[in-house]
Amino acid sequence: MAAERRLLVVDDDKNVRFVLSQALRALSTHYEILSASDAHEALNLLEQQAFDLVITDINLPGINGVDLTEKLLTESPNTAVIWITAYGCHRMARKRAYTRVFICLEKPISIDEIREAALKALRERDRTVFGRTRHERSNISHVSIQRQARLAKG
Amino acid sequence: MEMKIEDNITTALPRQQLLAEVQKAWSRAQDLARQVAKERDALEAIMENTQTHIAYLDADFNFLRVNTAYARGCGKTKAELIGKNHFDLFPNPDNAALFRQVRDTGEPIAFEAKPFVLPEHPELGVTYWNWTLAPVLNEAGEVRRLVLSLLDVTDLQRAQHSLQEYADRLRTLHRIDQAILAAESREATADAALAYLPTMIGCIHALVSLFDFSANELFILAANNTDANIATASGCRAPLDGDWTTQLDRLRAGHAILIEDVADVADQDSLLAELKDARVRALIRQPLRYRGELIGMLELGWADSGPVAPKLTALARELADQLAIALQQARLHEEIQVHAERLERRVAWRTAALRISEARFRAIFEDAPMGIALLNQKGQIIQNNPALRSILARDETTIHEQALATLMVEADAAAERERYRALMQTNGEGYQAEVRFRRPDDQAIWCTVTLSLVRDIQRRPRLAIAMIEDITEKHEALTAMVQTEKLALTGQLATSLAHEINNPLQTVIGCLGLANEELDADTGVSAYLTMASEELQRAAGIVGRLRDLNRPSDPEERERTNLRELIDRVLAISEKQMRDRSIDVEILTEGTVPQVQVVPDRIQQVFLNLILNAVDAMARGGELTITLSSTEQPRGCQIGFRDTGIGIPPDIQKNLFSPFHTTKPDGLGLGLYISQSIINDHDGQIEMQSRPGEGTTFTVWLPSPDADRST
Repeated sequence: MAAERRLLVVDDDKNVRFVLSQALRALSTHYEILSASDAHEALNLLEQQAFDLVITDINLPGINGVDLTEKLLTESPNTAVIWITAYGCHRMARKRAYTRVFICLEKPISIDEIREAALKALRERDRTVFGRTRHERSNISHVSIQRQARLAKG
Repeated sequence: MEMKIEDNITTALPRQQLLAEVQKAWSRAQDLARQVAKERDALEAIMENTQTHIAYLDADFNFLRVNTAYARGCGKTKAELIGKNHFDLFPNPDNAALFRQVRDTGEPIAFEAKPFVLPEHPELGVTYWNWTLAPVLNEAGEVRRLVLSLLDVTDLQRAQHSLQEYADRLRTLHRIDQAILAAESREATADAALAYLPTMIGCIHALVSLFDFSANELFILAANNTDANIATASGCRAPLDGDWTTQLDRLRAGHAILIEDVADVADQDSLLAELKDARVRALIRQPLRYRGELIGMLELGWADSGPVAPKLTALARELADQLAIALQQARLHEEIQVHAERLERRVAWRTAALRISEARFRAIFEDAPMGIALLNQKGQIIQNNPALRSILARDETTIHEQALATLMVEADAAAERERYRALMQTNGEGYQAEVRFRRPDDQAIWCTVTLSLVRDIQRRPRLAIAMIEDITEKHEALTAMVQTEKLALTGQLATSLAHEINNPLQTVIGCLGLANEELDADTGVSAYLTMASEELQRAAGIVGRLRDLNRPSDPEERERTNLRELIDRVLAISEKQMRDRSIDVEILTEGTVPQVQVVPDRIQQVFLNLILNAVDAMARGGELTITLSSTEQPRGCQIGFRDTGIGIPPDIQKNLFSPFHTTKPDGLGLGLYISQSIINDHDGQIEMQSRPGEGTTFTVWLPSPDADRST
């Protein structure tokens, strides 16, 4: 069965990548969660396949998260992006507006926070991409996703 | 004849007796005759050898006898004179009358230095004679003879005359000299010199002029003309034309120009032409030279032509020499006068300038924003300006004659005394020091004292000038800056730490969460994991707070905020603490509170901080009153937090908003500092009023956007 959603986690810290991926996997068995340790690896993966959501650390070695976001939004404007940072999101306010990223999270993030943010971002994406009808549909599916998550959690 | 007498006697007297008588008589006669001859010889000798001309005349004035001197004086021989009548030979009615007078009255006459022109010798000119005419009376008292004696006193007379002239000249020169000396200008000098000249030397024209070689002119200083036709007057100028070049050469050499008749001069200069028309004939131009340099001339003119008498040329020369010196002196006098006047003016001007300058300096002293004090050698203040009194918060009476050091705080006074003593002793270059002055209310004022010496003419130190600048604010600003730097550094440190700490925390918190999900919710382990997770979040919070120190606010984060809502939210968060300590909260809203443009999270942080501080201050309960009101001009919103807590001690109040000052055992001492930073960032203000034992009020003011934007 083909994956319902494709998510990519980009962070240079192996453990952070693991924890975040694990948290997101619990959302749905239909989600395909991939991870990359830097922007290059992420861009390679993005070339091969489209992602619904990319969660990226900002402070990456080499190309940073902001530049990565710019590049991937040029290639696939329909991808939702969440930034995570160890430094504070206020610094990114301007760039966040510029790159149309609407969610920024400060580490450490609890597993509930990342799940909620991911669902919110996907919902926003669907509304932009498919319009109102799709949004409402997405809303329904979102409810089901939440329920699933709660089930998984419980 | 002798024999005859002898015979007569012989007949009349006895022979022997007669003979003796005769012999006696004879001898007597012989003696008599000898005596007469002797006397005649003596008389003759006197007459012949005297300088006096002597003539013996009869009553008709015929010459009976004359001496050689007389004859020679008349230019005749004795023989030519004897028997001739005096007035036939020398007719002279006046003298004849005198002769007759003597003969008829029998009274002698005498004349001294009577002028007489010898008819035979007119070339000798007037001769002068002392003469007497004495009558010789017979026994009947009749005048039978006259004795005329004449003595030639011409030489004596001439000598006397020239002596007199010389004396007159001297007197005139002296008078001129006096007048010249009294004169104060060149014009007056020249005038004085010429005043007596015409009467003294009989000239009709006298003139003193100076040469103006640059203009090729002569300038008439003074003129004295007895003839109204002569137009030369002081102040006139005449060109140096005609043969002036030749004349000047002569004058420069010190020679006078002597003109016997102006009418005969061929190449006449303008001045000469004018004199000629005015009937001036003989003329002298005498150079006026000073130290060999030709400066002008003295010109004298007579109505008669002919050579000018040597004595007049000599006089002119003397006068010219004297005049040249006098004119030069007068010029020097004038120069000195001018110089003195200039000097006087300059002194007056300088005095005025000094007065202005003094006033200016006084104004600087009085109005200077910097404190200025004049110190004597002991370091006591002998003069001070208003700025100093204001800095030290003292009046004249508590400053005057106080040593500067005694006005300082104890810790700085000794060093100051030593510095000042050393400066005075070494006559050094002055110094600058940062010291604390003590105000009467014990407040310490940081000041820069700049001291420099005022030295006397011998370069010894007399006084010192102290410039005192209040740098308390600067000092505080510097302290604050150091603190800010400290904070910024802390912030930077925290930022770099954040990555290192937050990533591991991320992993741990994630793992704890995931592990918790795997567990049965009822087991106690889950609670442990939750607690561990919470503590880790708290640790992350501290790192976050440090990281956010001094971060500039981003205008994009600001949004229109209702402060009342914000306060409600903060109160909801702190509700539990309030309840625990039985604190009553009252919110008072005055009028319509406008919305403000702020970063809500940050203002919320400030309010939370103030409320938690109030809670801490009221450990045994109390009342928290929060007031909201609006302000106009500037337009804004004011929020007050008044508690009834323990209050803040004065010494802590001073550094209340400084970082790292805390009274809480586990506080970072950043709460109020960050609050103030946030409010300042929003262009607002935060103030505090506190009374120990009564409570504290914090007042926050925030500007609200312009009216048009707020609608």
